[in-house]
Amino acid sequence: MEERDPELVERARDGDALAFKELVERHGETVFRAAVRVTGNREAAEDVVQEAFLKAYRQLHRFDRRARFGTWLYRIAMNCAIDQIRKEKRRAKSAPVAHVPSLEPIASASPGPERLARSAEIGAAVREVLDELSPRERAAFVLRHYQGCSIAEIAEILGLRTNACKSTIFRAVQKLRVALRPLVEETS
Amino acid sequence: MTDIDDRELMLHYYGESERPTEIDRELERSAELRERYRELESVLDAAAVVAAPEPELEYGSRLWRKLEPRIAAAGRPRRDWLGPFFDRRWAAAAAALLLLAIGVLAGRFSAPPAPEVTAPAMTAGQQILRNTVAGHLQRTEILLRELANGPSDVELDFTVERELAAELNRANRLYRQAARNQGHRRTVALLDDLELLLLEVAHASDLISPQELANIRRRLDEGDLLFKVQVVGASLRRLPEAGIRTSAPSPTEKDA
Repeated sequence: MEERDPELVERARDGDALAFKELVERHGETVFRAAVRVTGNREAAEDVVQEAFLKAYRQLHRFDRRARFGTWLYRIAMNCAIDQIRKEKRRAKSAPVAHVPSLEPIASASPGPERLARSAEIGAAVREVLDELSPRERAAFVLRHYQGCSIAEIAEILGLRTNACKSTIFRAVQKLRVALRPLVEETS
Repeated sequence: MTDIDDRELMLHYYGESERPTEIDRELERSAELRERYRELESVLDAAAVVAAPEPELEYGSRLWRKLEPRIAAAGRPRRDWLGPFFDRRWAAAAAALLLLAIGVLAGRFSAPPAPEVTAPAMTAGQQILRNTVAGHLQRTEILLRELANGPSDVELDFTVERELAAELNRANRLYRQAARNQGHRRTVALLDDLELLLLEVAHASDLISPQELANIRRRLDEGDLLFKVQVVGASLRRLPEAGIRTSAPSPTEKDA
């Protein structure tokens, strides 16, 4: 998928809007999936994706042709998502609102009522933990656990050293373990 | 007992361990390690099945329809005339070296002042140094304010602050050398004090404890650093732009 990116970026730099459109169509869904996990809701994710592409377009002149466009775009999107979470947290402090759950457990093929209830509990616990993580921990964990990015890539995206990146993900995992262990142990 | 900790087990789970064969072998050998890994695996597997909303059908096209007017309004992307392979980090390093060279030269050739100059005026090198140090102090002030005003009763993710402090410290050393070469004693003294604090922040834990943060704050308060940074920064910004001369000032003009 990324083979044509360098050519498209080059054309977009020269003002070819159709080339940029193709980049949006190629990468939009992936960025949305990461953004919705990091922000925790669809509307915020939609804003993050739009903001990220707009910033990318304005900063195309800064894109290093030796880098991967996808990684560069992720970096912009994750910064937008982190800003978005911080804004939300500030807003929530001044005017708490009811949380609208966006992350739901995937139901198994033929789940019994107990299993469904347990899945819902796990889903709620994961959501709570993600809400408690720092924006950077959340982004790092989401990129590794759900998006399958390598730690080296995540370090590049979040501007961290590899070791700091490993520690950031580990902190998130430890918090998740504390919250999920009782639920998982009951199930097994 | 095994020397494999939970962080390494997590990396193994994600296929990012640096010694996967050794860990596999140890997992076969040690029941205790197997149990720890099983527990970690079951938690991470459980978290993996939590789904997120999927993008709507034809998401990319819909997204483009929303973006297109904003892209059109943004106009054509800017060109980078520095060229695609120009690395901005090298540019920053080159600028810092240039600054240092100017500082050294200004110090070396600061012959007795020209008698006809009476108004406080600066050489081009001094003006560059002044502007750069003023900018550096402004950035440092932001970090110091964050350190002074953040929450103090919980563990904090300190990664960003650590990295910023390390970056500021590298610049701090260069500017101090340049300031020393130009004989700005007050600036040198402040940058000396700042280095100790920046080093402490740069070497703090990624997840800083309230106690560790309290120690940093104590150093900040004892040295009255935030106040000094504000005063010296403000005085540097207040110095006049005009009146650049090509020779260095007399010792009495220094540290204006």
